[in-house]
Amino acid sequence: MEDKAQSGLQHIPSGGGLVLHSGRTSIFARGRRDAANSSSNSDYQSAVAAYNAGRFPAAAQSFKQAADQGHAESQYILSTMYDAGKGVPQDGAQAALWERTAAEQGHVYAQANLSFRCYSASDLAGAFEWCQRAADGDLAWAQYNLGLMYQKGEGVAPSEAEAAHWYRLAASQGFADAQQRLADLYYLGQGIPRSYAQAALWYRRAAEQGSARAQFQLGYLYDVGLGIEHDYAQYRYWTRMAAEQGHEDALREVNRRDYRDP
Amino acid sequence: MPAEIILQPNPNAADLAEKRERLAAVRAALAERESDVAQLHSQLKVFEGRYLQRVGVLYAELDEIAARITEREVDLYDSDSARRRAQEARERAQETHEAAFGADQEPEEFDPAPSLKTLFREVARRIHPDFASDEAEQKHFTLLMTRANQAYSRGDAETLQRLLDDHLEINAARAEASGSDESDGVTLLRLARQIQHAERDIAALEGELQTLLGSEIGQLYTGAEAAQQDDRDLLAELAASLRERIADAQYRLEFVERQVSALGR
Repeated sequence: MEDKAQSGLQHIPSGGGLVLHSGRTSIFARGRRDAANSSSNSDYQSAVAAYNAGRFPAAAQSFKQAADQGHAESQYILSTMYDAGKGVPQDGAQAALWERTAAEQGHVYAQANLSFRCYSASDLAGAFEWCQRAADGDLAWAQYNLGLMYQKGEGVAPSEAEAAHWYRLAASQGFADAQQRLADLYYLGQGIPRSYAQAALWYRRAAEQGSARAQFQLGYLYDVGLGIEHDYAQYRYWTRMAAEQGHEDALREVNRRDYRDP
Repeated sequence: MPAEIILQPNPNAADLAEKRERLAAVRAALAERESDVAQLHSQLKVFEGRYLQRVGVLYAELDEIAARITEREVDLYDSDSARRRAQEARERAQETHEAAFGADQEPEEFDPAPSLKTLFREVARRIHPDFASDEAEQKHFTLLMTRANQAYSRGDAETLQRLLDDHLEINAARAEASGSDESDGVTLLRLARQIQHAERDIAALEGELQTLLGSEIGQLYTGAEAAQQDDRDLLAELAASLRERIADAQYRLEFVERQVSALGR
């Protein structure tokens, strides 16, 4: 990890020999960062008030003032406003600049956005690094995407075990796509020992959140009784749910079933 | 013809007076700066203690819970990544704990190299206040002696050498003057050098002040002072937001622990 600011490697240059506790720099740095990012920052507060009142140019101006003071949340919002051309002229360079500044301060949403920006520019290594930092910051979206990058080998050597690890962290936070991906890995026994019971469990959680693929898969497991007791009603219910969302295999299944078993 | 005696002040004498005044002013400014730095340093020490007591301990608590969460996650789903993550979190918690609760680092045993001892003696015997020729010089020597002592105790040969060089440079000018008294020209040169030295030292102290203020603890201190102007207690605000994060983390820990016991591990 590049985030050495947090691990005590920073050193206060000791001017004329007045040495502060260099081993404690990181605990001071955290306080300084958190203080700078306090939501009681007055420019940030007036920016939020202006934003909520729809006065975007005024909001952008106040966010800029707070951003200049090192307020990470303001830097992040400012970057999204530059991206969207909201209250300020659309400006990708400014958006990228503030996004990176906030990301370097440890703002997880900015890190995730920066990862996406790198990805869009085909900088897979950068995308992976920032995604990793956001994932370490416990952002479910980033944990899921990190899992994807591990699974596809984008910006990193492919590893299904790592993919399973990150999918699981996102899945535990209730991220439906990650629950479905984790269930796939259990179903196929990729990166983790095969377990139909675990697959059924995670498919169910994703299915309950409306993931069409998970609904179809769950229906299938009910149909064949894998990892779960065979249950015809459940099979029909979940397959129909998936079909209603336009899942093609589910549609075929429903049509076939309706023809045979109306 | 009446002889008109015009008492013209010796141009050198005017120059000398002006230089002496200037030196006194610069040395006063230097002493002022010295005390500014010393004061800021002690203020930072006090603030550091308060910060660690009110905020640092909460970071330690937060990191401890974060480490436990990752360790429970290993219990839940063992894998290399989970173990690595848990280990990193544990190391970080350890670091934070030491920073927050660790006693002040013991000063290393003071065992100066013989060369440093010699250098210090060379300096001390030249700038000892007892050897000053007048009151102004005594005051200045006292200041120099304090700095020499500080430099010696932290093993700073560079500063000691500079003190010695300054002194030798001044005295070289004196020695060149034949006879017992300095000629005016030599005195002027000496004064000019002494002013130069004092100005250089002021600049160095200015840099030190900036370094202190620019350090993480310095910036925190400045922020806390500014907040106080608005009747805000920065450390209390930090502590409050940390308590929220701790409560959050505690909730996540309990959630993972419930999962662990549900799996019967």
